[in-house]
Amino acid sequence: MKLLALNVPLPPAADMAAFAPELIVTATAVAVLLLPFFLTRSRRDRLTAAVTALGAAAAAVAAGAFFVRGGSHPAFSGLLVADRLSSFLRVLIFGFLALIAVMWLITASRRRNDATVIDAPEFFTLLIAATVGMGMMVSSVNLLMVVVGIELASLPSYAMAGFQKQQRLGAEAAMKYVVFGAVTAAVMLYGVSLLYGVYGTLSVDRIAASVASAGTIPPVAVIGMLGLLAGVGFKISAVPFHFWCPDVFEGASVEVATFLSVASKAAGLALLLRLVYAVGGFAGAAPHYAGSIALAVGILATLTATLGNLAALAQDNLKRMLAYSSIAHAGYVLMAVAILPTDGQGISGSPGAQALVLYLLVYLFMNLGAFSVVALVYNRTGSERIEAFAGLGRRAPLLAIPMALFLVSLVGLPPMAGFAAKFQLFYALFVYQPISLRWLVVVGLVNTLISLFYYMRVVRAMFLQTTDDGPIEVSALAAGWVIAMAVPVTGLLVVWQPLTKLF
Amino acid sequence: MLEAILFYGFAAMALAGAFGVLLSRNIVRTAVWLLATLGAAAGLYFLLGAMFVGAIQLIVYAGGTLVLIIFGVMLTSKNPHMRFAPRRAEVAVAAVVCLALVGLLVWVLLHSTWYVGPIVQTRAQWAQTGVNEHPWAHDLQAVTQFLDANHVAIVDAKGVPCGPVTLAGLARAAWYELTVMPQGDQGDRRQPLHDADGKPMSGDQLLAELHALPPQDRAIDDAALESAIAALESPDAPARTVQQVAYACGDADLLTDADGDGTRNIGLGFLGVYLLPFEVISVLLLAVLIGAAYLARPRVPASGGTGGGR
Amino acid sequence: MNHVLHIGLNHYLVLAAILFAAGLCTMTLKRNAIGILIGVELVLNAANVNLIAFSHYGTGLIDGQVTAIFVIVLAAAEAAVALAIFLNFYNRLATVDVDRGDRLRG
Repeated sequence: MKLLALNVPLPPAADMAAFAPELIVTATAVAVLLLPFFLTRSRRDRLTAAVTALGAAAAAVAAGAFFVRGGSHPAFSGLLVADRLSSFLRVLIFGFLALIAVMWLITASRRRNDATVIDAPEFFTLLIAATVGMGMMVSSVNLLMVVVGIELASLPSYAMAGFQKQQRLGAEAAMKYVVFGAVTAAVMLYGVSLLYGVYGTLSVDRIAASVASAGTIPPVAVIGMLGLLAGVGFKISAVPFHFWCPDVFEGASVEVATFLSVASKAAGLALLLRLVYAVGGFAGAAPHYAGSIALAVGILATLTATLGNLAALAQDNLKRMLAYSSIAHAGYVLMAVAILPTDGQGISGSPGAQALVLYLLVYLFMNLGAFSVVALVYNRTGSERIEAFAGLGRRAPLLAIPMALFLVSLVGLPPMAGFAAKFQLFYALFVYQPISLRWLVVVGLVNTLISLFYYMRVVRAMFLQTTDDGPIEVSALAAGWVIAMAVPVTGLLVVWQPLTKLF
Repeated sequence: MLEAILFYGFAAMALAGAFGVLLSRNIVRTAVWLLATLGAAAGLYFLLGAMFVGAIQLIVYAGGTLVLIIFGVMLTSKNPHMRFAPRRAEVAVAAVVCLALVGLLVWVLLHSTWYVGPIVQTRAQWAQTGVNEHPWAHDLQAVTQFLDANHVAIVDAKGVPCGPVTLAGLARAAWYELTVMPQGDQGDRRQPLHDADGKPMSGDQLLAELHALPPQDRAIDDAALESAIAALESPDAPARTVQQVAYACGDADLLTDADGDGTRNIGLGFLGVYLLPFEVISVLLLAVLIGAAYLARPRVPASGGTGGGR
Repeated sequence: MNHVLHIGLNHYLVLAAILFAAGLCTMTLKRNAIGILIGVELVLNAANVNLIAFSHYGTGLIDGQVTAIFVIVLAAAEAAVALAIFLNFYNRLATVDVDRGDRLRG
């Protein structure tokens, strides 16, 4: 098929098929923008969320079809790749978008205080655009697409952080987010320009081939890679690029914080995994720089997890605490990135990718559940502080018991799914061969111990403290939603083994 | 000589702008100093033959983004001429850190080897500079090794190897009027890749030549070759140029920047190899439009109270 | 003398490096959010000079130029979002001094 008079053929159908999930959600965004013209204001917001949820679910199914089919299919002149890793993460990210839309229906659409604005069409357009960017991030194999994907994920996120524009905290959060994001993006671009100069290409695979044939990484390429790390580290809030995270989580609405805590970090971590795997890896003659890369990522992971957990100890605001907790969890997942592939393993079945995917899947549900409870308690009490949770076990057992499950899972204790995720990760680190990563297991265990304190503080407030406040009424829908999130958090432990086989 | 004068002129302007931005304590002046840097950068792009990027830099960056920034300055300060001064200690620390950074960066940059493509200059330019001053003269050994592995050489009039024979290399050889010949017996099998008028060869001719080469003499993916030929032989394919061969192969390596072809190839690239980011940008711009309009517009009074913190 | 008069890749790289450092310095020294944004623009221009110089002297392809065009478009989009956010912040606090955004302590 030819387009215009230019003798320009359209992209092949196979490329478009690989891109189907993104096309579906983009069409959903257009539908969401056009819907208000046909609806009254009162029905508009709920229906917008419902349409978004349906579109995102359809996109997740489309990505799932690719995952089931398997194989690695480069698309769009080698800018993107649709392999099992990218397909699985797109299922995760688009599925998460659907869940966020449902969460919004249950929590935000019922929030009625002066400072809350509900402009669903604008909000969901931004949400969808950011998700498309994250979908690009997990499937990019070209630095140009990496940059475009990160920007597409970031720019709508800045606007979403400040979406509660009547609130001072929201305005402040958005400003810090955009300033920090713009600076890291600029540094990333300078780094990318240096990499382009050294390797003469932006294709990640070709850069990897050049690195492998040279057997060493010149200093200027190291500078370029550090610049790239600034951009990706910003998305996953790795230390020292984490400063925005707690402020943005506190200032933005709970729904936005939930979205950023899971989707943005999952996309960034998967992207980092792909980049690190391309350049590192012990294929062939086990070049010395592979060990250095694993060590560097391990140190980054250690810093991120430890600093996140230590800072979380001091927090009284639950959103801030969960923000630091999300930094710490990004640190754990970074440990999985350090598990470089050995001898020609593909990225899709490697132990590191398996640990990363399982961790992100479990983290999605436990974080979504915990943030949902925070949102519901905030709706009733107007507070996100830990005092608002005092005596919750008596005041609203239907929220408190699932919340306790989520928190136990976030610590990583059996019998919750968080244990499976951590066990899989630590086991992979423990048995890793070419170089020893066992010290990371120690770091992980110490960090798990630290995290026990602040998560259990919430549990103690809920069940051991008493207040004179009356019971919090919880709608059947809200209770059902929270319990529905608790099911995978307990149930994933049962299907844990088959799940890792699946990938 | 003219190039040196122009370069130093634009570079001085760019640096003056940058230091003006850095040292100016008035935010309006800062924004205006940025204009100097943006304009000078556009001049440098023209100097580097990137005509289209230079034009975009002037139209979009200097003409659009900068005006947006100046509007932002005007809208967000009660007194636009308000001065703000950082503390002396901060300035000192920043100056030391930045100087150290420049020193380190420049040292590393000057001691690095950069990628040099197989062919970067036309034959005429090549002859003018002389081989020894050529930027990739030190890479000749690597190029030669590569060519040996592929059994073929592209040579200029002096018989100096110019690049590997891939489909991309051949197309570029055709474009630059270089010649291709199998290594070993230089005399009789030399195949000049330009037509009788001395013009670059068409894609058809090029592919015919390519096809005629024995398979062991070319390091070309047959599948790519077949798909290129199929695209060229389709009935509604009109004029066939090297760029269209490039497009048909989906190969960014054929979109060269030479002899004023850059702009044309950027157009072809946006509709071909770079179609995806080009389209994704439209999603980005939609989101930016919605987000910026939402944040900047005043709140509709009917939808609630006046807000303002909690 | 030849190095001075014969303009090559290194001349552009050094210029870009100085622009980059000036941009970073601007970001750290300016209190005004828009000042920081202007520093970002300097760094982006340094990246673009690099990209186009490498495109010209290195690959001889247009991929560097295409990337530079995307950088210009992304910079424009980023400026639009950032200025909308600054405007909103200004409407709340009547300043765009980043040090005044102190309710949230990171």
